[in-house]
Amino acid sequence: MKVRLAAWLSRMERLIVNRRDSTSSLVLIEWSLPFLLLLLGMQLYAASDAKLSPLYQESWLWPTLWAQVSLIAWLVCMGAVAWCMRDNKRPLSWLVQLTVLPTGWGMLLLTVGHGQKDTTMCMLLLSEFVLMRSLFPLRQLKCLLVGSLLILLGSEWLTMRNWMPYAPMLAEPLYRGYGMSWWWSLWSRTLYLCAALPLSGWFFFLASTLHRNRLALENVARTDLLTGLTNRREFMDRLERESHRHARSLRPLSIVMCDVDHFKRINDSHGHPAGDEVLARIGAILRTSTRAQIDAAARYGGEEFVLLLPETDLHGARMVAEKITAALRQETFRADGQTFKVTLSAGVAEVVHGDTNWALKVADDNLYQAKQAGRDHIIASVAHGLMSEPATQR
Amino acid sequence: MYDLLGRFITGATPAWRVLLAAFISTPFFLLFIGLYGMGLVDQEVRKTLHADVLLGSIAAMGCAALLNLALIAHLWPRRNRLDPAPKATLLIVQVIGLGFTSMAIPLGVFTTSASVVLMGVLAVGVWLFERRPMLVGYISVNVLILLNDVGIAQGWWNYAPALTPLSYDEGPSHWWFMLVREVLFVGGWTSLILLLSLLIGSLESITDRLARLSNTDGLTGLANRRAFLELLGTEIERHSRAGQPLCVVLIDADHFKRVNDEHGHAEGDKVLITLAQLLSSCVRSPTDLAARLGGEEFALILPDTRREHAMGICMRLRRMLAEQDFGGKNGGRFQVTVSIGLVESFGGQPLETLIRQADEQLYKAKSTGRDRVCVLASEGAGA
Repeated sequence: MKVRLAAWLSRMERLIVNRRDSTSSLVLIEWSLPFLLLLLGMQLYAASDAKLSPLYQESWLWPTLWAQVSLIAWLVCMGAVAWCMRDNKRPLSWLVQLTVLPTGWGMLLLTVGHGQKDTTMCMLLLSEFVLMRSLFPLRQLKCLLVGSLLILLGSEWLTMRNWMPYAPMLAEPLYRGYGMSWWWSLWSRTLYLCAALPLSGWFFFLASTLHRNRLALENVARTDLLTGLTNRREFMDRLERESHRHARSLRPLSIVMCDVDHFKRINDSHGHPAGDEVLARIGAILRTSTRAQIDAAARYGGEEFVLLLPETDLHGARMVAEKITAALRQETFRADGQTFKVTLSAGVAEVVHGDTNWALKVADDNLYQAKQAGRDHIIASVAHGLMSEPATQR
Repeated sequence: MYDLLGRFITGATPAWRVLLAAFISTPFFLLFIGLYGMGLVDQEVRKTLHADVLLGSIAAMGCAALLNLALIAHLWPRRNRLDPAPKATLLIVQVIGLGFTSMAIPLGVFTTSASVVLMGVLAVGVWLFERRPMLVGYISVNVLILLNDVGIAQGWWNYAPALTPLSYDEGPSHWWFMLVREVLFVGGWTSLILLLSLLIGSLESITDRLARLSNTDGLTGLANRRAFLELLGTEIERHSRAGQPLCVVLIDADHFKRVNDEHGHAEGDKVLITLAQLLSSCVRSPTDLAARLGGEEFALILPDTRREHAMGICMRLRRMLAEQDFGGKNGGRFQVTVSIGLVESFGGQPLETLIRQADEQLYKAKSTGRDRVCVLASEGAGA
């Protein structure tokens, strides 16, 4: 049940995001028809009941019924057209307008007919407009909105000049201060429930979609798409923050820089897709070898990666680097039927006095030395001011 | 505007959200207290109303407004704290929801636009707060409305208990109810429409940016690998259907590693950006696509383009690049060249093959001395 609801919701989200004219029109029709049928059914019931029919303005009763029937028939036809074109991805402005305008204006006229200020028809109209606004871009609704405003102002004006009574479809407005007839009580509450509940559900849905997309946006802006690691910009921000914290707390902080050995050669001899695969696998190794919330693992550029390890001294950072190179040594890559191995060189530096930029430089120098020493090496040192002595070598 | 609001909301601390809700709702509470108060002050109008009910409603809204002010006073000093404020959030959601409901019930929930106002409150709420507190608030508002209906059905009180038939009569006291009704109608609808465009507009702008970000390369602004592969797929499909020519070009900066090592990453980035600009100035037609595939590798998709024409584009790119000088300042000036692999699709090649063929040409250009274009001449045979 829950799974099906989730699937349905994600389908709705795709509809809103993709906004294909044909399917949007179809959804609008599918949503509107039940309401129109409900309205029609209730009015038909009242018309056929001798006690209820005097509630409606006699001269308007049948014309409005026929108008509703033809609106429904029109929408069914449009629905059939939209269904046939549901795979069509091109803009279908005519279909949208032919669906939106009759639905919107028809609902609005019915609302005015029942009295726009004191009926739950407002709620129905509202849910209709909200759905339209979610399904179509604003420019496609211009005609509808301007026309609706004119209809509303026109009806206000006609009522003010006493040329048209308020709520012209009814013998008298729903409620005049002395009790509501059982029919209108039932009518109001039914419509209110039918419109307000889905509408508020829709609000919640829109907001959660918004919330989720906002998070996704932040994530995309911060991650490297290939490896799933943090990107360089986010890493530099993080480095800045950690450097402040380190300078205050003097807790150890280390940086590991690593670079794939002979990456160019991998790309050239096995092709770029194989190179990408290598980077993605290394990204996965880095992610599993570091602490999710505490450390930062980033792709620094091309085939260069960098780790920021708070609460970790030189020895600990070296261990992390060794864990990573060991994990990579276990991996075998395949491309075009050939298998190959990949190694990493790493430079490690422990930050001193919050000077992370200097530590970054030292880690880079150590990385360079590791490369010089024949690759697949780790070189670590504490980033003391100017005297960075290589501490250990493997 | 949606961007600005969206960023504001994304950056807002939980305390700020509560404050914002309080700032928005308090003036409305005061407005409705004023409106109801007008009815009570005017003796003529007062006679046509059930004053005690209206007073109760005013008292409820007054409490809500006071609680809002208390929350503002409490949270203002803590407004920039990042820690969540679940209690304050829950409180303000309840206060605002129940406050507006107690405004709506005396006039009748179903026969005034008060329900539209309630929907507006919901729209702001879901925009500002998480789902859980909003659901709690939503449920309590609906329970209140339901209880009111039960009371009406049991005959404990009337529907729209503050009003009498005289409110609806065209008598001397008629103006008050008409005023309230108009305010609810016009105010409710306009604010609701504004709020909805806010909600949906920010959703639109965010999905837009999301699509843009996940399809472009952050450094150069060109399409990224994902967008490249996607478009190439559709172009190949179209090509095999319609038989229009299609060219794919792979471009790689020569000795880029050396640029990075000798002149620094910043200079390397500058080279990539310049290269990207040159590429996008080379492709004019909107159907062409320039992409950065990663590192120093770029690509062009040229639909409706013959090999000879594509060759011309590559030559123009190389000429323009040759006129560019990089570096300066402390390092020496240097120039950058590119190796290019070009392949025209003859139909039938699947995407992987096409890319591999272009890659082979690129490799050939690299291995025969760089700074050149290599073309796959005709089907199968290299040149």
